Amino acid sequence: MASILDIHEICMYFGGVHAVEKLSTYLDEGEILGIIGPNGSGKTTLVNVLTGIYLPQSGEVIYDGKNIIGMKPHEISKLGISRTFQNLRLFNSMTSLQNVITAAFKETQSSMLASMMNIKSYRDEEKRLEEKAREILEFVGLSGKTDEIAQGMAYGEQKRLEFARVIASNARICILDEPAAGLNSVEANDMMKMIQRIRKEKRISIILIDHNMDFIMSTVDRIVVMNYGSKIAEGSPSAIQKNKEVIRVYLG
Amino acid sequence: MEKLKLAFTKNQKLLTLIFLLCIAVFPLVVHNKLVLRAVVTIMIYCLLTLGNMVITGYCGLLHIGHAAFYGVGAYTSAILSSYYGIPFIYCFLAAGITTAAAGFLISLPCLRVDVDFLSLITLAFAQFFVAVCNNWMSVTRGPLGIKDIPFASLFGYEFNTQIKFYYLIFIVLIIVYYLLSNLMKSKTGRALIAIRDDEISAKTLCVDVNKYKVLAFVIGSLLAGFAGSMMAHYLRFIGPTAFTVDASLLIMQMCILGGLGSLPGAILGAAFFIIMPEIIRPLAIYRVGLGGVIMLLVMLVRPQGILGSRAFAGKGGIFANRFKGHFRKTKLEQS
Repeated sequence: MASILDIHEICMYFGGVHAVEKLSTYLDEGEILGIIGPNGSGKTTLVNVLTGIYLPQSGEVIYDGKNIIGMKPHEISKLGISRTFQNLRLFNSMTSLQNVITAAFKETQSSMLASMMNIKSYRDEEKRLEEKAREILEFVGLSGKTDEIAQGMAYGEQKRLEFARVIASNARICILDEPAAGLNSVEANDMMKMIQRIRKEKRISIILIDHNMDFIMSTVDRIVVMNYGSKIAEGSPSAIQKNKEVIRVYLG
Repeated sequence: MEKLKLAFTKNQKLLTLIFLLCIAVFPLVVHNKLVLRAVVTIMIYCLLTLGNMVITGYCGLLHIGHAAFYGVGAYTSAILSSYYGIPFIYCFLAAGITTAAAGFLISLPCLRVDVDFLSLITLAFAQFFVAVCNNWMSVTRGPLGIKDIPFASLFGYEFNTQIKFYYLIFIVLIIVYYLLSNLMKSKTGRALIAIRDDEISAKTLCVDVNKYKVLAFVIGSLLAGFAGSMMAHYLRFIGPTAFTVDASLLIMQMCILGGLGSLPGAILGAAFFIIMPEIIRPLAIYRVGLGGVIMLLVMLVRPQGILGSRAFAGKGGIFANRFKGHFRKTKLEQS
């Protein structure tokens, strides 16, 4: 399988803090790559670099033959890379349905003029967007909560809504930043099943960051382990579990 | 309360139609000149509050200089018609375009800063505009203002009475509201709200944040330009005193009370702050502080305003979060 994303020697420094140090890895098409490591090891910083929120000091990320370093976040999103946030960044004043419809922003074609005049093609598109949003909400198990304000939803539901938005964005690469954080084992299990289902059904590639070892080991195809900004190991889940360095630093 | 809300949303179209009909027949029933003048003023201010609502209510950009845009539109229309005799329709459109250009220019520095300095930029522009009006004697005639502005006219038909102008502003307001309402329900509205609720999240969902912030300012200032033109050809006199910072703050108060993030709220707020001073006139000297007292009560009891979005409600409100986030960031950079 060809690699869809190539990460070459990313260096992200904040003054004297080397948050990410010469990190290289790759993502194959259709695979689920897990990134694990202690808190502060640079996992989320790496995601921020990949999605254009931070500009690294050096390094490249090749996607579809282009280096996406230096592109703005909305340009990278347009190319087909989406992400969720560790601490949730929902549109709190909107309902869950509106959140998911907004997440399909890339797919919305109607011009401003068309929407102002309320012409048929615009109305049809809005209807299609709403139907698709309802399907996605049903997929993540939130079909009863379509008209609930995002801010007032339970934490587990908010996590699922965050995931629903990534699905709606119709991305080719989804980066999930701690999708199971704060969930109990039943909810985490549901999340794992949803991630595997979406990978199969929509044939997307996923980068998954989490702390929950059971969750990671049973979901991903390959793991990258980070510590203090550097990659200390890479391989299959079983190989990582036996890796002495990883056990010393993390699994211990 | 809930039953009332439910009944309202179910029959929304019918109630809106009845409301519009009432406004339409109003001048045929009520002949009191002062009352008609008040309603016309409300309708002109509605254009202002709708514009400010798009910038601050929907996009979350704290804009406290809207009266300056109002002024740009008013002076453009007044100068073109008074000095050059250009027909009203072109003055009206030119007022909109000039003000939209001003809005575009002001939005650019605002892209780089967050809520606190952004509001200062808009405030600075407001003060700058008043100073220009007061001193550019050759163009604006300074404090003397511009007088004998021609009546509004279309294809030779002059809107030279209270009632004729009433219907002109009414039609303009209905068209503007309809188009704006559709726009805010669409992808554009969703983008603005997304930026307001969470800018970073919006960026990662393919929203070009800078483009939409500029768009918000352009739409808001376009409407203010139209309002200015209408006002200039209604009162037929304009002067710098109508466009001070006080006027900007009044417009902002109208938006806040009516409810930030809601277009009906803009209408409600405009109506309230025009009608209220007339109703409390019997209170004599005590009426002066009442506007302030009302705003205090709003902030304490219902910060999102009467019809506003919950994004502005209380402690979890967006301005509070933005300020907190900003100060946390600067403190971190210092340490």
